[in-house]
Amino acid sequence: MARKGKKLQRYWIQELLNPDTPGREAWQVQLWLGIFPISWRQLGNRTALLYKTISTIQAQLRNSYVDLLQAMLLDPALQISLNGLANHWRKPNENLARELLELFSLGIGNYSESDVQEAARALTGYRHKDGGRIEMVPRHHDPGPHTIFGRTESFDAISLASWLGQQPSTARHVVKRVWRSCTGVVPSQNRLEELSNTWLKKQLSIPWLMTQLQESPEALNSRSDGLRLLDPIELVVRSLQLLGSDHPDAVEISLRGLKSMGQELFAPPSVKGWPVNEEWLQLRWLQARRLTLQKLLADEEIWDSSQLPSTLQVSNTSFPPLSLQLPTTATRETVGDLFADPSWQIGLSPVLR
Amino acid sequence: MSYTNISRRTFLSGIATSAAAAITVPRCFGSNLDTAQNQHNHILVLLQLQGGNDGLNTLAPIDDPIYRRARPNLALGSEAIELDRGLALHPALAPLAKLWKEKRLAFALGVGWAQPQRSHFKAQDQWATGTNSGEGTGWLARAYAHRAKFNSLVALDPSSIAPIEGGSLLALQLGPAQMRGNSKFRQMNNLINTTTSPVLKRLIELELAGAQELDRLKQALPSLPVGLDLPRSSLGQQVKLALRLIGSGVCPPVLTLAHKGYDTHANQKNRHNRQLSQLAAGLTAFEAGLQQLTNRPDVTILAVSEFGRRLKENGSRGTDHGSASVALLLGDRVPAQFLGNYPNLEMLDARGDLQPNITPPELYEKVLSLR
Repeated sequence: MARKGKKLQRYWIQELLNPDTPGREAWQVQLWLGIFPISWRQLGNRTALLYKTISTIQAQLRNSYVDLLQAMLLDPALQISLNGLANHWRKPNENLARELLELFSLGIGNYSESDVQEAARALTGYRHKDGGRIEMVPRHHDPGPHTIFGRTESFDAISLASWLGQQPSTARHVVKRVWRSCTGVVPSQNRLEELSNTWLKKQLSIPWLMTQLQESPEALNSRSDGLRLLDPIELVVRSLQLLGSDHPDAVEISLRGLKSMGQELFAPPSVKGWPVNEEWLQLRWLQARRLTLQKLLADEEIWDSSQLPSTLQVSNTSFPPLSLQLPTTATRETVGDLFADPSWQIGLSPVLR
Repeated sequence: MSYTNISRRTFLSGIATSAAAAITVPRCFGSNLDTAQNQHNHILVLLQLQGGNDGLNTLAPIDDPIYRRARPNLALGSEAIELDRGLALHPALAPLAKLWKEKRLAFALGVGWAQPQRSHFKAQDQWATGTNSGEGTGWLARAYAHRAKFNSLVALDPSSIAPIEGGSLLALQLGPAQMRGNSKFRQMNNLINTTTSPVLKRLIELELAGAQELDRLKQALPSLPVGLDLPRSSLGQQVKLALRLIGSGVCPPVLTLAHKGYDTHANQKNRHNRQLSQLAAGLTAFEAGLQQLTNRPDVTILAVSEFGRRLKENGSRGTDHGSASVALLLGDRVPAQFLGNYPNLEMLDARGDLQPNITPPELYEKVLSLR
């Protein structure tokens, strides 16, 4: 089980390291994996289902958030991790319904307890079928009618996701999470209203949202003023890319380091996902960041296989170093200085160019 | 239901008397501690037995026929050391029997969550935060928050840090790596004014504060009394550092330690024996060190595990994840020798697990009242 988890993590860090993935696709998947967090530890010997989750997300990146939500509600790993498969009309299990309303759509405070209970009934009866698909089994399903967020009809996962996708609070909640996660800041109230209203008019198109994010004043400010602390995985990938080594040691040290930095891949601490920005400021995690980068640089085999640029350019960083003048010749020492400089840990999400 | 309530009430009523008793037993202090208030005079050492220690074979209901029937291969026999109430210590813990007689050792019986999680990770989170959800700040971080006297709480094993994280005091790691390392953070002091990024400022401040506190503690570390024989195990090394901190005169009020390897799913007899031997060696060394240190604060050691193990042994001569277990208390302010009641083996829960009668938050409250 642990071996399968490790294999998945190794695969995923390689994907994130690959500079050729078109349109930063892997990083977009990483973003949504943080919003739909599933821990490999919850899957028992079915860790491999997370490969399917990755492709489920990948397949919807050019579609709408409603498409993504529908696909995720039928994703086996998500269903298992939120007890969806135990949800039966005779004995509804509210776990998936609650997280759907609180985390994946409306956001806390925007629904009632009865909405949760009714949504749980609408999500009863989904079972894992041969061939790995999640399908609704009518005899386990409660056909309703269910009254959810003011509408009464016979809901199922698909129609429920569509209905939630029409709500302004869903648009607001998702925009807020994406912005905070990628730029480190939350848009002002007015900006948030404007963005989420327009996004609703665009049928929650994900490509539209990504373009807006890319060009947003929030991203611009965050870039120039250094408003976002990198996630550990982003720090590690940035450092590995500068070193340019594909030695297996590099991946092993990184994966172990990520765990001690608080971001073991595919093992989010809770359904709320990963910490963001200043939430990473725990002394233990910061020490682990330093230690891991030092280890990467100290490993002789990684060093021997590294392909450093001849010069460390300003363009190699996203925020000016505090203790180092660039450009400078790239040596083991100057790279060490750069890794030790606090500014190396600052930057936007790689989802943004 | 009423069974649980009665035992809980009995347990809670014991708290007031023992807390009062603790205050009436002052110790002597060196001149460097003259100004310290009472609360500074107590160090709490939390030792986490990681993996799920088998409480049933740590302190065994040795005469209970149900215990013997459920564990044909694993039940302890006459080699166990009988204490009281028909409960007997695992023979590997024999060195602790003396401490029991001296009333420096106590056991909390039937400690656990009402609806226990069988995942190590989830259960460890619950114990670390003292909450059923397993979310939020560490229970010790909360208990010691905003105490102006202290700078930090210290973890001597990296995996033991969660209970001290998230509060107002620094959660510091102090292990071999930090003892070796020479902090290069001095230069960061100058950097802090060169940036306008708020998150960068906070990062530098935090790392700087951590480095300074680490230096302060390291510089104050005395060498140990001569002739002290400390095990070479990881636990022994943590005990060594704990003793040096306790003797330093600037010891943080909380130290956390970890002893790994209690997940005895197979061939438990040898593995558990080895674990408990290491534990006994570590604790007796700790005790010997405490006896030799002069002018030290009072110390209480609390040893807990994320869950106990199933009553019925499994097919691999081991035991699987269970529920209620025993916690161990050792030191200068130990209350009654037993807290709570041993779970009734006739009243298992639906999954065949022991029913707890003390929740971890209740145990924590009790231990914090010893301060």
